[in-house]
Amino acid sequence: MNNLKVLLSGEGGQGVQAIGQILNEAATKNGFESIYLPNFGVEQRGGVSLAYVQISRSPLTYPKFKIADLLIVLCPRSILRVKNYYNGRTKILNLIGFEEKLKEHELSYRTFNMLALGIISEFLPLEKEIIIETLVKKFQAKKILPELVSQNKKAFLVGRVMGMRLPSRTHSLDYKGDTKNKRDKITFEDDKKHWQINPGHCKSCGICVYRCPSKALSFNPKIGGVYGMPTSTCDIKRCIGCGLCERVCPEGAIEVKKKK
Amino acid sequence: METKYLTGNEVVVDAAIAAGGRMMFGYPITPSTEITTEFAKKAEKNERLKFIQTEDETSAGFGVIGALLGGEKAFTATGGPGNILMQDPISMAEAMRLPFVGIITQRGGPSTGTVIYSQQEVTLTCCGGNGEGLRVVYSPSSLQEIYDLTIKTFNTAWKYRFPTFLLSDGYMAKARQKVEIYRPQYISTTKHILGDARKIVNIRNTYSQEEELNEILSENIRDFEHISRDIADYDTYKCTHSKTIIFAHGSAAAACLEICKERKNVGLFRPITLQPFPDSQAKMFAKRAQKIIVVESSAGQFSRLLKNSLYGISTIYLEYQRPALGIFEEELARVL
Amino acid sequence: MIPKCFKKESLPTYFCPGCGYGIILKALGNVIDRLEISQRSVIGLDIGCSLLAWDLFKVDTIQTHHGRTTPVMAGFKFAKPESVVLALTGDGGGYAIGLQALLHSAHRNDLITVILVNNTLYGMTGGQMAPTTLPKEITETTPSGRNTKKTGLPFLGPEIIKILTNKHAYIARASIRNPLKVEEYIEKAIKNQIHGKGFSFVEILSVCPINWKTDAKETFDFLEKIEQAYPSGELKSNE
Repeated sequence: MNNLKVLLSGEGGQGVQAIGQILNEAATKNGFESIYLPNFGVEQRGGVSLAYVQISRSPLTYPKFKIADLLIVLCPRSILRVKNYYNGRTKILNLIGFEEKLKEHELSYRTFNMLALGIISEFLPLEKEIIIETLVKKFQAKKILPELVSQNKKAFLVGRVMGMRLPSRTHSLDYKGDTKNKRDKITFEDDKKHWQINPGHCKSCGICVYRCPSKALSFNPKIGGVYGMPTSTCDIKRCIGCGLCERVCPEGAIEVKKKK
Repeated sequence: METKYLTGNEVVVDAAIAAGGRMMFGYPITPSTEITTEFAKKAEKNERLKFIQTEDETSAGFGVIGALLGGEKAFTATGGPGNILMQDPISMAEAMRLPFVGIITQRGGPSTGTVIYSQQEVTLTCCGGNGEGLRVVYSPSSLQEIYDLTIKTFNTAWKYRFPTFLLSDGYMAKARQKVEIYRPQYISTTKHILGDARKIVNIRNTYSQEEELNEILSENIRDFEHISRDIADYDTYKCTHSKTIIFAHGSAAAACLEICKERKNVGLFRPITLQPFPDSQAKMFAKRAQKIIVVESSAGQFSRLLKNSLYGISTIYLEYQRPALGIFEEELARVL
Repeated sequence: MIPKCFKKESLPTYFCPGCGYGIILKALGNVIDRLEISQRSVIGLDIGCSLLAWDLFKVDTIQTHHGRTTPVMAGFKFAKPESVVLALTGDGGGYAIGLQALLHSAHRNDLITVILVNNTLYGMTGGQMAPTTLPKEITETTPSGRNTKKTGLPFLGPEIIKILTNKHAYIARASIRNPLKVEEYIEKAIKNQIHGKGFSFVEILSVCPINWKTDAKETFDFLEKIEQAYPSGELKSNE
């Protein structure tokens, strides 16, 4: 087997690096040579995150490559980012939107990267048991709650089944949706006040929910924000129109108006 | 036009002001200190000039950057350890194509060394910092040339937007001699980069991807290569028929010139710009000679630059290196 | 409400979820709008999380080098005294690598406004100790908590600057817990510059949930600890 070049791309925070690290370690345990390189921009969170993984039978020396053999795309913004890193021979797995499938299996949205890992693993010459062992060890080392570890394991297995069913031909990277997170604003109002959020700017930080003096705000998992995570929603009956949420929202996603 | 009797450092100040230099940020360091103190004196008497003494050379360099972003011809002067500290702001100027002007008076190094003289800051001034060395470096070899080239330093910086330096040394800085002070025919215009009310600019020096940076670098490198033809400069003495040619720059070249005048078959090739280097002309003369001798007050910093240009020729190549020492006829004669 | 001097196309910002910069920059934007100074303002950014604001404003901005924002902006003010000059920096750029330049600029009474964001660690590089890290606080370079015997006590920046500056300086500290206070102090600081009085400095206590690894409630609980170590208020107000 020649050097197999795997390029993973997703939003910072989607867990792209975790996938890369697990593949790297599992490949090594599986008797292959493997080298992994993370790549991200200056932001701690929110830039597009890339992970380069190479798997080979012969020794590997250079951590970076230009054209991937297997390209995985997890978010719309990656499409532009990876445009120079694949050619006609690259197998592309377009997993944008696959987070939705987690709900069917009652899995937390935080396990999306393990679902992706499951799908990807179907296209790699790595033993399932070794990957599971590696991912469990990794999550346990992070001191994550046992239920979440088993959720992650379940997500992986669900992903693997999905991977088996995916067509073997390459996916397209034509994404008709908007890559800039434009979403419709959502409004709640009554005769005294008006509360509006722009979910496309909500990063799910939770400060508004925490600071609301009348506990009118909560998370709505049905409306995803910048990273696909739940955004704020308002119980207008409890809202007193004070506008503190508007003031403390770091992205200016919320607007509150008192009516005369 | 006026004839004055000045030290090399005093010449810098007159030339800087003649070239439109209005602001100086400085920190005293021998042998450049008089540039700073002279300008400070002049600034007290002339409202149009502004002098700021900063707490160190790094702040001096960044102060210069701030001022030239505002459209003022600002400059600084330093040498030795101060030149090292200056590389932080110079790198920023290099990256962001800012017309940074610096006067460097070389002293013995590394570290504190001597406060006196050397030609050991060639590499540092040409390519210190974490970039590709897209800087223009003028190497004067006389006090008159300090006047002429200081003016050129300002003009070149503002015309082409690369950090530009006058690479002087401690001997020339402190020597006193007759100099012709004149008003230059041409001084470059300025424009402010920030604070123009007609448009908003957001300027950065950080990039997220390798390719983004590479694109900017490629453009800057292309620009630099393009201007090299206009800017690269040199002088020769008796090179056409001499069997031996001495290659030297700065005041070492001045010493060699005296030696060449007394020897029949010895000529001198003197680059006036160390960067961009006058490659093709240097190569042309070097090819014709039987032997070339590279003379410098360093352990090979100038020779390395020269070898870049002379790659491929088979002329005998000798190096006469005197790190941190002056060049004297009696000693050089033994080699010739 | 988004300040008029923000570029709408630059939203959402590059900042992490829950970052204090969102609140601070909105406050700054509101002041710029209210004083109508967007055309003549220039904002210098340090290397650190402040650089993520590089294209957020419809105001001239420039990224400098780490800890060098203050001297660059001071130099700019000398060249263009009619402009309103702001230097945005962090606890590293201000109190570590850039401390010397900051203190001397204050000492000279340079007519600039420095806004320093204090989140007790170096955010962009992954959360290492800063001069302002609290005792026993866990960071990447103090994995078992900051040992103040070996690394010093929390750094009181505005207090030191107060001693060095003359009576015309404006020095204050606010917490993002109270965005209106942040706005008030920033406005007073900028007015101190516009009226030609003196050096103005505002330290803003901020949060970093990503490197603190905290949720919203834990973030504000930790902010309370920070507020206890660094008292808010106006240290010098030129009134």
